[in-house]
Amino acid sequence: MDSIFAIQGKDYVIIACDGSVGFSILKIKDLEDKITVLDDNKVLGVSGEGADRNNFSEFIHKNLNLIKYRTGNALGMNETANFIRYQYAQAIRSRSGPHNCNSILGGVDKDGTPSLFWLDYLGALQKITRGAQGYAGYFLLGLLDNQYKKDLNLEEGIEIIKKCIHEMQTRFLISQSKFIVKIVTKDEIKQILL
Amino acid sequence: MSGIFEYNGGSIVGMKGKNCIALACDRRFGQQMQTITMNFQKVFKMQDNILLALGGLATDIQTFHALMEYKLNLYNLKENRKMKPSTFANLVASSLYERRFSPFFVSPIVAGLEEGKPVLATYDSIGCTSDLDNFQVGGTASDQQNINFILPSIYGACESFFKPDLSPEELEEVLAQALVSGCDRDAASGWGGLVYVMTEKNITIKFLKTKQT
Repeated sequence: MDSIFAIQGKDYVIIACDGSVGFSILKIKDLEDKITVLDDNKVLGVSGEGADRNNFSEFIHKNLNLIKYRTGNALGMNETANFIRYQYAQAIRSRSGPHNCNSILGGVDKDGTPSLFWLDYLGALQKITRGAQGYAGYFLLGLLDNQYKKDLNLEEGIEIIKKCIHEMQTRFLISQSKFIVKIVTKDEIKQILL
Repeated sequence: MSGIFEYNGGSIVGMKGKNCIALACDRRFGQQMQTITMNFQKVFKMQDNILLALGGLATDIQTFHALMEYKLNLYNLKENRKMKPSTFANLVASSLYERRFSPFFVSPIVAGLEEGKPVLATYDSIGCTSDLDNFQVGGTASDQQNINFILPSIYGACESFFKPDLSPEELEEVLAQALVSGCDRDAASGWGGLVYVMTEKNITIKFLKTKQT
């Protein structure tokens, strides 16, 4: 039920998630942050059942930290994406089974190049410029394809995300009143509520 | 669309020519009916004279490719020489059989040139090698898995366009036509195509336009 969608601009990436947490017919929470900050320049939006989502994002976050402490430097975007893919791919044939969650990884490398990666629970990895996980895809991929162009500036990117949120709120059966949006640039990660 | 091989979609095809060999693939990566990206890599250059094409489940395409890179690199380091295409073809088969009871859901095609002669091999997901035909197909536009349907398949297109001993230019054209015809009729394949033609001298890559659906 989680909606995670993202877009890449000229020098930034934006990942947005809905805030609702449901339990059968009940909405427990409407402002749950499903985008974990992995580093000062990368974020991971995870979609799936609550426990799997929390568990997996924490697992990735802590393991990336471990690599940072052991080797002395943090991984770049491509390496992080492949690391996460490896964890997913290893898990599917393991005793404990697959990680039942899908992710979108977004961030900006030290040299200023933004990148966005789509990963599914089986371990398929794709570098994307715009994308969505979950039901959001059915509503938003067409819209994102239509609105996207190369080298979007930040205002244009946020406008597109606003259009996406409006689309979800209009047409998706499950009401998603609040969306958490994280904007990652070379220097900072900003969070806004839309 | 059921079945783990059809989950992500995609088609690949290989064809032998006169002292050249070609591999073609589509570019779609989807989740059943939904298309996620239109630039998913399915053909990998393992060595100057070896190409590996993989169809099937996307995660296993990426994992199996990484595994083959690893084994090939280790071979290069240990033996201090390049691997022959026929050896690589054998390596793919044994690597698949290593996972006999928990297989990789991939349909590989290996294409190579060994002393000028083309090597083309295709496998099922557990390593049964088929290397006698002049062309091989894999993925959803072939009729391997969908036995219930009379499938619009690349097989038909290949059979009608193929001639023995084609030159590299002719081979590229024939394979392009076969891939495009096959993919245009298959909902799970398409969104562009790539044809890799390997000769003694080089590998050329041509991008094809298919029906954008």
